[in-house]
Amino acid sequence: MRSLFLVSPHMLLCLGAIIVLVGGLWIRNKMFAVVSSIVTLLGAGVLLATMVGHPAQDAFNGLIVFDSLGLFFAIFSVIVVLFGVLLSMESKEIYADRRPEYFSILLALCTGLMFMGVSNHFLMLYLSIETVSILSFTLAGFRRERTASVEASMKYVVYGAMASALMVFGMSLVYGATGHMDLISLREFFSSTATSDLPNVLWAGVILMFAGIGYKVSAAPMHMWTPDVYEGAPTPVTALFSVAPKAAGFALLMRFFITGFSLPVQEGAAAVAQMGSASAISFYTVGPVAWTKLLMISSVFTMFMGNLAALGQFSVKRILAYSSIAHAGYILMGATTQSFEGLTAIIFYLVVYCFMNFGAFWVTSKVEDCFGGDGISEFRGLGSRKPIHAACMAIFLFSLVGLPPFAGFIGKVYLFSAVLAREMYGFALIAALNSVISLFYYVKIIRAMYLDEAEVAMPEGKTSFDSRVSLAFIVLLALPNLVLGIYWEPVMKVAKNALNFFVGM
Amino acid sequence: MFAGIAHNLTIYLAMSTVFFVFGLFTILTRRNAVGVFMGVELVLNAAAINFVAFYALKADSAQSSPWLDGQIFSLFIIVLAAIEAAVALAIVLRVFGAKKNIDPDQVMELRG
Repeated sequence: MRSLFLVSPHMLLCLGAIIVLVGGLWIRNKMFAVVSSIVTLLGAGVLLATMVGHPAQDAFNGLIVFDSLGLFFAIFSVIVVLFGVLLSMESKEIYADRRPEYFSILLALCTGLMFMGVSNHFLMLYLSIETVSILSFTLAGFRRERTASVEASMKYVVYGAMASALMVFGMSLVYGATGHMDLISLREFFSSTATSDLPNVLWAGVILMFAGIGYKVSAAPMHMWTPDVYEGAPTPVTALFSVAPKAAGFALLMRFFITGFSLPVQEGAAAVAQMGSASAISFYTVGPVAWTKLLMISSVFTMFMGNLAALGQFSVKRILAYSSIAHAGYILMGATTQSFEGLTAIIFYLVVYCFMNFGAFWVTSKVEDCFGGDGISEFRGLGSRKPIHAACMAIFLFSLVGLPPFAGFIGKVYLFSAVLAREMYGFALIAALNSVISLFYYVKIIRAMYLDEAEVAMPEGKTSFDSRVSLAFIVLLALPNLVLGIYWEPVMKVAKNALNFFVGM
Repeated sequence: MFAGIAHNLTIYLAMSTVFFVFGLFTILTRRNAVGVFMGVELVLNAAAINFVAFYALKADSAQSSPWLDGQIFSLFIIVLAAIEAAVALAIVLRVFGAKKNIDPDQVMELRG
């Protein structure tokens, strides 16, 4: 019963998905699906909020663990999916008569995302990743009359099926080498067994598992699907893909490597007593697999692949796709530090990233709805035509570059300082170089908006830019980018609280 | 119940490795989306064999009978493989309807 109580938000979302789908058969009102999904998401959010502050507890024989990290990412997923619902409601790409299916898939996706953050067992890892993947395949191909959308969905499903198959094979190897699938007992097993007694096949197992997790966060070498899927999928779906599964994937990655393959250098409470703060906690690797090296190599490749490939692009959605690959590289950097500081930086960066990336996609969605394309040429002259939209887009892009005084800058400062604190100077230098490269392609969009003459004629009559709701949300997403650049302490505190369970580990 | 599996473990592992290698080879070389999914199924089945074999090994060496984790995992692999195949084939059918071609390399509109 206690376990069932813990998953009540997930069950509510499943119920909501069924109600939206079945109710949509009879209720023809086109706002029905939207309103009931928003109500369900808010309900799940309230249920999750009542769980905040409770000590960590496990459910279903340790399959899932409800701790501060899982709870944080569950709430984060609900908020991001809520943004996704609002953006989809405003977009022309999701037709009103197909709303029930679409929103019921979104709610089910949210359930999967919430399970990704709390899974503590290989079985749950696999099930939650697959739930999110399979629903994502269908969402990517939702505009089935458009061949690009169908093609995106096929590429996604080919890569996704391969990545998950490799991951499951990796899991079987790790299970064979250790006899454990539970992450906590895995760590206990590693710390009580001499490294030389463990077979080398663990390396293969962990690398294959990283292929599956890396695919969800689009880390190299499993990033190839990202640009095609992001470009082909409907823009609201792309906005959601670029934030929600990625954040949940990082939650899963942190839990997998930190809970399964690391131990704190000193017992949490002792370290806090000695150093005076939780930020002094750092971890060391247990078991034979040097996973930080693995993540470091992947991170460097991810950054370069994303940033260099983005330089030659003309589709804004594609540029943002490559930029989201590059950001995955920056965020991976935080995980390689193996310190409390680095992990906090990851969470802080994900929060900031949600605002800047979602905002940029929202503006892109409006441009695509209005002009029927998302190329640089559609953005030309936006600065004089729609000054508020253009100004917000500029804020999002500057924040993505990481220029002060925007929030992206603070996020990068935390990540870089965590890396520098571990004396990985070369690594920090590579990341800084990548930030400079990224400036070129973001500025390309900004220049098109402000310095170039308008190229595509504005359609007559009412356009997608006139929607007040959209404008309000774009401004609402731009504000945190400015505010968090100056006053970020509250978010930092939330990020630290989310990692609180490491203190007692 | 599984007496002596440890002795025969090599046979099971050899079989799963062959499945894995064939599956990976199929995924990488097939020029047809349905063929790629066949390769994926082979890799998934290799994993399922591994799980069952390693579970039996674990049950053999443990004093008390352990949780049926490996066996249950292989059941979930079978179920999810079916779900994935259903969605994948629906998408492939849609691509064929639109393009009359299901070669992932030929179906190219998005590139760069």
